Amino acid sequence: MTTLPHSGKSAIRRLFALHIIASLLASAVVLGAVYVGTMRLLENQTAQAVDAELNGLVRDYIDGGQFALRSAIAERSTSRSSADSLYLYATADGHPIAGNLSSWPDVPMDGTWQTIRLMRTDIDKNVLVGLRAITLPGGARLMVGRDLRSQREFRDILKYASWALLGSFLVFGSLGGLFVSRSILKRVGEIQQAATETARGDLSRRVPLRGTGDEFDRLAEALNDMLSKNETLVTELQMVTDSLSHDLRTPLARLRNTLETALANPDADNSDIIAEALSEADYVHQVFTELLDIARVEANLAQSQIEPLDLSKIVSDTVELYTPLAEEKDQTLNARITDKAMIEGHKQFLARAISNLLDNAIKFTPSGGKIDVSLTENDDKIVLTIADTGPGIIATDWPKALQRMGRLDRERGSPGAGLGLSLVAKVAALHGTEVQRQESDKGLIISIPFARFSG
Amino acid sequence: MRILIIEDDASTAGFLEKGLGEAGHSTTWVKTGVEGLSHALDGPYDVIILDRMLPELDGISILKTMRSNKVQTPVLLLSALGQTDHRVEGLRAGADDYLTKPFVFSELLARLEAIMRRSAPVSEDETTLQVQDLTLDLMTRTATRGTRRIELQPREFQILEYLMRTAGRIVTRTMLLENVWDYHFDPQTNVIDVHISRLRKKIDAPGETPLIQTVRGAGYRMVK
Repeated sequence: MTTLPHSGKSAIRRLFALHIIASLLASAVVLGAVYVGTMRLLENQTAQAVDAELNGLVRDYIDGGQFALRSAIAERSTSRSSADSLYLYATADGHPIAGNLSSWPDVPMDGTWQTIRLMRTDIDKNVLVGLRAITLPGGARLMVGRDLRSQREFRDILKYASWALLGSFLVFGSLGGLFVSRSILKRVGEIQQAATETARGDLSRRVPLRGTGDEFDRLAEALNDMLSKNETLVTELQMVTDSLSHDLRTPLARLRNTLETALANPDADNSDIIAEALSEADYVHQVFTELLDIARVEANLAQSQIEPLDLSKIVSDTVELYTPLAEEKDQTLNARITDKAMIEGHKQFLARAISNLLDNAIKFTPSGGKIDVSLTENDDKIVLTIADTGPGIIATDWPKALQRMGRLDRERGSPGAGLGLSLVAKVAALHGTEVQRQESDKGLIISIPFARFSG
Repeated sequence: MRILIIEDDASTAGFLEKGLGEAGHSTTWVKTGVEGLSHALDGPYDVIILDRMLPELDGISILKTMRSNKVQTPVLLLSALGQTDHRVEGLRAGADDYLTKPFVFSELLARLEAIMRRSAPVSEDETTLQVQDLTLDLMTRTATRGTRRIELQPREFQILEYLMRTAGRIVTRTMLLENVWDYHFDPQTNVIDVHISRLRKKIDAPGETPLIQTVRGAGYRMVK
């Protein structure tokens, strides 16, 4: 079933119709001009031929009198070549003397060019004739004419040919137009249908490609890119709202219960309860802040704050920030940091991302474990690697871990909103790179390669 | 303090007025940028809380106009998501500090008080800081409590210096991260707390008066 846009209005059809009408008019004008010009030419030639003959005959009459005229007319009207030539030489009162017409027609005898119908007895046909009639000196009448039948036939051929031309033009033009507009409308219809179905909620809908690589295919590809981006965003939005409601419902409920308890005992010392409520509120606030930050990185609002900076300083700062925390958990936090690692980056978000990575490493590595941070140069890349001896993340879980709120089962119940790695992924994307997970049997090894900045 | 609130959102403004009123400050609230600017230019305010996105006239323009008119009233800029949240741009335009919405009230209050303190004249040639019997010598980078010499890591020294400069006021974890490390984000987990508790172990020996207090739900305070 082809899908045509079912609105009656079609721009392409209207354009085709206009095009056909314009072409028909133009052709009609041209054909009309040819027709009129040709007919005029033929008529003039006939009139001139008749003139020449009439003059010749008058000269014969002047030179040789009645007899010479009669024999000239007899000779002419019997010659085969002049089957269409008509002559009549008649007396002053119209009795035929010589020629191939049986009676004098009712025409003015002033030598003007006349076109009339009359009966040709020789071929027994009523025909259209162009003629000139004059009165000879002495009162006799002389008329020379031409049967215009062949001219008429030619005119009809010309007429029919013109009509046929215009007709076939109309038929084939319309058919072609219909065919072309139909195929265009079909493709527009496919796009329209994809859009309609998407709007109705089927986000996986795409515009079919023909594989021709033509402008419609290119348009379809661009639209499909947009549709898949749209799908990703909506899916993420759904995930965020789902996870948010899941992750925030619990602390909000706890917050409410805590406050209710405090309200129920207005006279008791509620400072513990209030402190608990505060930390619940802080947690909710933190989840929101993280989500907003991720949104900010995603929306590329941070693009303008990217500047050349020394990544080694940020890495050593963050390591220094987290060292006491690792020591609290009896973990060894080692750092091997090359100095002067210049990249183009966003200082605040980089610090934030590296903090998140260290935070995760410390959170998931059991006490007594080891965390190795290294910033090394190879070729034109500066690679940040963080390896821990925690439980790691299996390869199949990796993509999920990078998603917003992608909390893995192992983390359920641990603090944090599951946004840490997601922000790291977005920050990496902001720097035109990605977070890579290396296979390891000892824990998790994450690395991010940055392009070196060389002024 | 007399605080001018320039904020078009009634619920945010109400929340601010209530909280600041309870903290003992008097507040004036105006809703539009134009009104805000005329108040800011003429009014006797100690500090201004300025929202970035306002009807009629945006916060940054108000700031620039104020500063070009030599009005030096300290300004705390509030910025919401949905615009290029250019902390840098805000500070360049003349803001004294800046906070992203949504914010926690205790954070805002702590920052306001810090701004006020900063705007008070500081003697340039300060070489020592003194809180009770704790002395910080900024020249020799040494700390002593009574007669006890305290060994500090460079970072611990910076934290202590910041706490002593803000003695008597609350500092939040975010403020510590900003002022000591120069990173602007909400520190995760308890990473700042560990730094403070280490420092506290060195400063407040058993039997001595604790100088670094924890303010629950807000942050820390160095006693005066």
